Amino acid sequence: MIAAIKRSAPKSTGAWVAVAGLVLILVVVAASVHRALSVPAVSVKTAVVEQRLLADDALVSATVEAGRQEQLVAPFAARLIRYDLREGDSFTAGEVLAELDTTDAEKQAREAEAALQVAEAQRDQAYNPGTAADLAQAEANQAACRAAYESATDTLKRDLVLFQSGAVSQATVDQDQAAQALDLYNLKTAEAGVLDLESPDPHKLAVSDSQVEQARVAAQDAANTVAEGRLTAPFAGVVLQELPQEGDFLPLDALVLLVARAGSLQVEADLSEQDIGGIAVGQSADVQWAGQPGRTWQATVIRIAPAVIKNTALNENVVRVYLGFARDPDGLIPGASVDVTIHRIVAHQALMVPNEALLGSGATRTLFVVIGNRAHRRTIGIGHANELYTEVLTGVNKGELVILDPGNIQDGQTVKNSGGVQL
Amino acid sequence: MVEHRKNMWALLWGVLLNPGETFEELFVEEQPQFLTVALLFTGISLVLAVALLPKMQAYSVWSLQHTPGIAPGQLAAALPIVSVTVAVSLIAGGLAGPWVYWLAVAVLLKLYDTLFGAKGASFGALFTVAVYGYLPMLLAAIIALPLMLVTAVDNIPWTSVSLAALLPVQKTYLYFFLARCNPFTWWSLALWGIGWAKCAKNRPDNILIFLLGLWLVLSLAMACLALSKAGSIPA
Repeated sequence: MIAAIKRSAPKSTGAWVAVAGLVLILVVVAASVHRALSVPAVSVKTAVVEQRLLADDALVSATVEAGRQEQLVAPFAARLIRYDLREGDSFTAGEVLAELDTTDAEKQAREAEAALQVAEAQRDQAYNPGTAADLAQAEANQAACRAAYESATDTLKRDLVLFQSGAVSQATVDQDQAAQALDLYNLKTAEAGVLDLESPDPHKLAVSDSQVEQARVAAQDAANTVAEGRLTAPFAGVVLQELPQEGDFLPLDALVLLVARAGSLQVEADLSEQDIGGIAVGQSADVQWAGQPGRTWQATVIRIAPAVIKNTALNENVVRVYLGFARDPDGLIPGASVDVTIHRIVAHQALMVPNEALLGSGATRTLFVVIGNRAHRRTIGIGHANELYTEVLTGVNKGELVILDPGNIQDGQTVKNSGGVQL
Repeated sequence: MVEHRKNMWALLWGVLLNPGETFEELFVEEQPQFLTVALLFTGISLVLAVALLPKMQAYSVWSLQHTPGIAPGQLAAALPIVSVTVAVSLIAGGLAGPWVYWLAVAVLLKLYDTLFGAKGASFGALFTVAVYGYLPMLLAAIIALPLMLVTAVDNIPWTSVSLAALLPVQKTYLYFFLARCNPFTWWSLALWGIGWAKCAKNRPDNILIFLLGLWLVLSLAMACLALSKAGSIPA
């Protein structure tokens, strides 16, 4: 080539062309060798760290429920004689909501009261059996019985002696013995009468006390039954449902009224297991109801059920979340089907990176930033996250490239960007 | 005059360093001998192909594995076929490739001779020029072989003896055009032009311009084609 160039071009030009060609070949070969021997860069996909609006909402259908409901039932079988409330009517605590016919109960109460009085009289008699005159008379009777007994005993002794001498017959002795036994019985009876008057029998007194208490309880029950015939409100609230009509005869435990506590409306939302992540007490939510188009009520997550339950209507496992209202949600009514938006993350501007760029767990993570053609490990602090992105609080700057799915990337490793995602 | 002729190795050395005189010597006989050199080149080409075969098979497998969207079942079915296809293609290319190349160059030179020359160059002489002028390109292939063998599999598409080695790897039109700019190719073009000039007893200026122009058009078109297929190169 050199000679050819020498022949077909001026000598000086040909020499320069030959030298230039040789240098070019050497340079190209050297560069090719360097390219071939250089450690191949690892292909990575990257994403740009950008500041965007970060929000994470859970959307769910829910139902408005009265927070505390009570069923007022008939305490006994009776006719409903007063019932003038209607659905939606408000009432105050202690207000009589309905009345049952208590004629029979009142009769039973009177009978019980009378029985109590009888029991009390018998008890009084047991505690106070007699006067001093009665006691003196009983003691006199006792003395007379003792004298009669002693006389009968002396007579029996004398006739026994006579019988041994044959002066009296066996029949006489037998009569004497019978008379002595009768006098002994009378004496014992008289002594018992004296004892009863001097100190009443404790056993009899206990029985009398129990009878009085039993009668008192029965009377109280009867009185309570009469009182229960007036159905009173356990709290201030509203009538949710009225069932019987005035004049109806109600069996025992028949439902009379369904009432709810005033200002206790709450929303019950069933979130699927996939959606429950990130939901926490205190998070805000928006409630919308088709019955009041255009209106939105502000609610707050107040409770999360501690167990997963089966929602048969949805045919899936759910976790029930309860939302309350800071003040009475005017316009919402129990039973309304509403749409709820729970704000896991309140919308705000944040530096975000795709979740697949992060390594580790917890509040401190690592990722790789591409600077030039090398990967550099960074430790970052993270904030909120949603299904796709994580908020970065510290460690990276806006506009930097982060490596997606870093996998086995090493700090300082040469990488080549094979594309990426646009946040 | 036979006793004055150089042997094959001297001729090959002379073609590289003093092509004008060497080609003149080649054409002393009316029927210049090219078969020995052609067979030598073919043998070398075959050895290069066989040496490169495992690496190219590995690259083909890697490339297939990194093809987006390919199902595992499809991959498993394609792998044996790909390996066999690569082996057949490389060996066939090593054997027949140079001959096809020489034939194309000889036809091109004959065409130029017919259109612009004195029509004095025989096809056999021009085929001889094509064979001897192929030597720089063969040197480039020999230099590239160890580079291909030592480089990583995923680096193979970017390994070549060309001006593109001076740029970072990129999928741009400039890069793919520079990948066509191989100094050894230019050297071969110069040898073919000088060889035709000696054979046709003409000046080499116009034939060199013709060949370089043709190469430029072809390279620009190939760069376009490479750019259009750049997406299929695994990253």
